[in-house]
Amino acid sequence: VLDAAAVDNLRAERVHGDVELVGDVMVDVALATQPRARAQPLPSSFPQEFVLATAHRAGNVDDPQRLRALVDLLLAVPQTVILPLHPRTRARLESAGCSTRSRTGCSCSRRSGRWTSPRCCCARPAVLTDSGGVQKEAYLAGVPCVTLRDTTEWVETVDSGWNVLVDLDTQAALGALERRPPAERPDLYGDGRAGERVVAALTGARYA
Amino acid sequence: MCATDERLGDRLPARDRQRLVLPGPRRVRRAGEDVAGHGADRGEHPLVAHLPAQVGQEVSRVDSPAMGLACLDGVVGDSADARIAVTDEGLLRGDGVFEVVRLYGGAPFALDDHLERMGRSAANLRLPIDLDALRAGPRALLDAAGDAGDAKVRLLVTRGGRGSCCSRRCRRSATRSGSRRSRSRRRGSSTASSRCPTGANMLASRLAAERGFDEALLTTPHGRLLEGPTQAFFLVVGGELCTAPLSDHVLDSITRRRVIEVTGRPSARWPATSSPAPTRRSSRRRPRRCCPCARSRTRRSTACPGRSPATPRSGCARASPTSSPRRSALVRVLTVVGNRPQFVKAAAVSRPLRERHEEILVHTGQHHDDELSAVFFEELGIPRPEHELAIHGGTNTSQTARMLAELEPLLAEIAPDVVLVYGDTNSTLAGGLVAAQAGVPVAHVEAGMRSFDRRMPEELNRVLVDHLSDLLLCSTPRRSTTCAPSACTATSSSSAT
Repeated sequence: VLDAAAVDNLRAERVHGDVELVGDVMVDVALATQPRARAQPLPSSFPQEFVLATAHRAGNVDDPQRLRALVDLLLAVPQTVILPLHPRTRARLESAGCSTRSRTGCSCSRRSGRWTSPRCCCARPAVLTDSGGVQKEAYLAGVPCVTLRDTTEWVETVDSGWNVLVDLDTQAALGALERRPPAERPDLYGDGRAGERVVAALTGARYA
Repeated sequence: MCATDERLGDRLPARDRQRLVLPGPRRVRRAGEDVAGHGADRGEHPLVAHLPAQVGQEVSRVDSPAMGLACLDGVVGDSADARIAVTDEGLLRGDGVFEVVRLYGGAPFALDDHLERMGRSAANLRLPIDLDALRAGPRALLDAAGDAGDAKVRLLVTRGGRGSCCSRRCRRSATRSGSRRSRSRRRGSSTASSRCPTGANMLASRLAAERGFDEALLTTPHGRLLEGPTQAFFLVVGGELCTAPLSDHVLDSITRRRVIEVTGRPSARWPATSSPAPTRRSSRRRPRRCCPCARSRTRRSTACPGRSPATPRSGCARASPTSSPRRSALVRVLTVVGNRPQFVKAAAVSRPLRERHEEILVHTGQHHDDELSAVFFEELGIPRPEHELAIHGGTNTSQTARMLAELEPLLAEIAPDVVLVYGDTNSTLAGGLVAAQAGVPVAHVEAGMRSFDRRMPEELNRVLVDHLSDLLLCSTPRRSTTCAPSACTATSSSSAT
């Protein structure tokens, strides 16, 4: 709702420490791990083209109706869906009587979380997610993102055309999956040197 | 205090104990500096090595060692005649404690302090000791020796209950030695008291002598000055007296204590150094106690930092607001993380940080699952935590409280220059609060994120940590939690338990 920047927030709160803008350290990690992830062979069971899907938000999986809509959406995706299962999602699916075993067209993986992001950059044609972090990872990896929410904190990814908010609307999601990625991908989140700036700030040295 | 120091010494990582750094010999003394030591001469103490599991005392003169007197279990005699059994544990395993007391004009200096410290040392080693018998030793010895002049009395107790006391004439005044030069070596074994094996220290002195220097100086692997093999170490730089803090596990020397006592209010005199720029600023606003002794348990004052003992940096000077930022000052960073995203973020900082500085990574255990496995660390190239507290479960409040309780002693032990926290979890808050209470600067990465929903525990953590922090490091100007609370990022909203 409030679109104030972090620096502005801190100024408004009159914090006593020194405020410095260093950039996002997650970008450093993403940029550092992508080449390795790309070089890593995918599991043999993975097809050439697959949609990487993640879903774990309470808003999507706790309500049985929303959960049903989510499952329907995933099953409607024409490409193979790789779904690393978040523990919460697994629990909700099981209590709703859904099988969490892999089936044709939808492969459920036990592993979730950070495992997802290195695989993110290998997903084609897109990533399907309700995670904030994955949205940005996808952008950094140059993979289009379809977001299973109606809001995002990464508005820039939407503005630049790399992210589409579809909530749990199957038709919108299918439409979004067919979109071609934009030609340009501006450097929205930093240059991958935030860690160095953190160190520079910590050690009192100035950075350029 | 000293019990704590003992414990700290015991918990020094083995690699620190063993690390031997041997750069080439260098001059330490520079213009405007004065070097003082105590307990100083490098004379051999042949008796000491052979004293049995016993109380023994010796008075001897370095200029004529044969004239030395020893008091073994209360019996005074020539040190050459005092005998101990070859089965003595002190000889076989170095299992014992010793003290060296200076005699000025024949009078022992601070004997009670030495005995008290010896008692603590012995207690730490579970070594029975009769302090009254020990106290009687020097007296008997000095009575027999007549005018001992400026000498030293060595008190030694080894396993078995016997003890000895011996003394030596000082070769020269030890309070000031003109041009000592140094080589460096990691000292790892010393803590608040002297245990028997000091062979490594003696070796450092011999190596220094081999290379033509008068004395060795012990440093940390990172080049912070510590002490001499048998001396406390002080530097006077620009009128400021500096010494290594006890938190660096230097010997809690009696002379060092006295020097600190008589040089007046330590907080006004002992420079805080090596502090990162933000702390300079904050220390201007909130003056912190900088005395190594006063703050040794809560905050390390790197009183004599430097890349090598040869170049005590401007870090030895008071870190005044006017001093320019020093690129090269070594900074010891304690990073507190508790969940996977924080590990990942910390990894981005750890890599550049560890290139030139020191980082200790603490994992509170807040986020514990099989994903924090070997694969996780290897795939992402993330450093493994040096300390794991295994605190998880319970309410946010109780979890945070347990973290605070565990982190406080750890912080005192590690004595970092700055504590680094990430994000908005309970671990973030606990790390920040513990540091702030201890007067250690706090740096917060991902500062300024707000959902403006105070019902979220993460929001409370964010706000509180930001207000505790000395250095607030923001991600991007545009990045903020722009959405309704229900739609906040995984990294910012699901991270607290």
